[in-house]
Amino acid sequence: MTIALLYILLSVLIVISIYVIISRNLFSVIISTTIFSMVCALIFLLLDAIDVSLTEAAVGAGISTILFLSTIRYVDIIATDTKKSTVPIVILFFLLLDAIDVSLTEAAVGAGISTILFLSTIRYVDIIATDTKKSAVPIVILFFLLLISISILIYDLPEPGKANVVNNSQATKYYINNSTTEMGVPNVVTSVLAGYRGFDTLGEVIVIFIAGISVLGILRNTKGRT
Amino acid sequence: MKHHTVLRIVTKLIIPLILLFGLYIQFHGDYSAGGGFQAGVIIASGFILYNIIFGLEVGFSILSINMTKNLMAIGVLLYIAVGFMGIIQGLNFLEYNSLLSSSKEGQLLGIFLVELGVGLTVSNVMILIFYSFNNMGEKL
Amino acid sequence: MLYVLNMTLFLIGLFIIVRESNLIKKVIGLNIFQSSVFIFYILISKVEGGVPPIISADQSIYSNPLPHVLILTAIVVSIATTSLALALIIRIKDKYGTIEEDDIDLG
Repeated sequence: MTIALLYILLSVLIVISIYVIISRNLFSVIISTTIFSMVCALIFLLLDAIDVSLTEAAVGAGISTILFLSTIRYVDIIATDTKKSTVPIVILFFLLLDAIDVSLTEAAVGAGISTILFLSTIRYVDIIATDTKKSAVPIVILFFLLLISISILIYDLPEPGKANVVNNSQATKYYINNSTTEMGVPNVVTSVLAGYRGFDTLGEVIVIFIAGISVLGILRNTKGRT
Repeated sequence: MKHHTVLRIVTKLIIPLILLFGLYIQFHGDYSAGGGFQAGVIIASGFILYNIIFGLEVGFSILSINMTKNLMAIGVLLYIAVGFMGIIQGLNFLEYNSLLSSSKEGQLLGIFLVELGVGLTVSNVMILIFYSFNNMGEKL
Repeated sequence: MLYVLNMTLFLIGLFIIVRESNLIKKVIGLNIFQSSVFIFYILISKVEGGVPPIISADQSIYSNPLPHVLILTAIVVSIATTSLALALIIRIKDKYGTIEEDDIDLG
């Protein structure tokens, strides 16, 4: 039941992000980002991560939307279409989505056909690159490298829910067993965050502080639209 | 937006609940979901809603930019001060065992103060960023 | 199979960052990219038959709390990055007059 809901919610996320690519009105794109964050928070809740869900809902749907809408006041609301050509990258995209399911034993065979298609799109890209202001060849090479590394990574992952059978980490067992006796705090996430790993939280607070003063410094002498 | 009656009344009813919820999340981080970060963001959202409805001038009269900057720094200093309490008594940095009589109570007090510092800093940074995005030029 | 959907989201986020010319859409693509990484970490932390990691007397199987701690920090760092990026966008608009990357004239 949880797995089926997760499939549906992840598909909703993909639909929202495709809408972000297609749409040109920045206001609707920002509201879609808010919906994206709320669906993410729902996914985190289904996966038993309650602290993360609360943080993502408060941050993504609250503060992030407010900051984006405050920026919209100063820029035009309609984004122009990009002048780079899209077709070579879309072809690579379909290559990527097909190749994720190829097993390692078939990758040797698939690499031949993929290489031929790849070379033919390179030929296409050369013709187009004289018109665009930005060449698409670096993008193509980057996606090809990502293709290889993602296929190797996904092949070895366990099913969602059974990962704990595969790797029982010593640190997790120690934290869960000793959180109430040593710290007196039932919430394991808080006791790890503020107790056992308090030094990392100090670094994080300092990062937030630096972001605050940097924004103050960047926007000090700007003349904006009133 | 002050002249829209529905917005004004609903905001007046909801903002105390938002701030109360933020304080609940801050202090009950030990027993349910929550902690300093979530609480800081929720309290900042409540205050920013007040600024949006009633105007930035009223917000500045309640919490000026100088006050925000000071509270931001006080949060970080509180965190570091709790860390130094351990060094004063001869133990490591950020070791809470020596703060109170027993080790477990020391941990509880240490986590409480640390989360308070985090909540202060995060909420004031969010409010400061909102102020600087909407108030160009003067008063920064 | 869920990981395939997640990696698709990852690549869509990367696609938006690389291809879009409007700077605000690039920042939104960065947020989508980061969200996909968060979902990946939380996916591998779930334990079947487990409950959220708050210790109570009558449960014995808990979901893994360590990735939750990592992602909490990562979410907070992501808003810091987003707010700085948006502040820079306002400055760029002020100085160059446009936020379309193709139209910015650095000369």
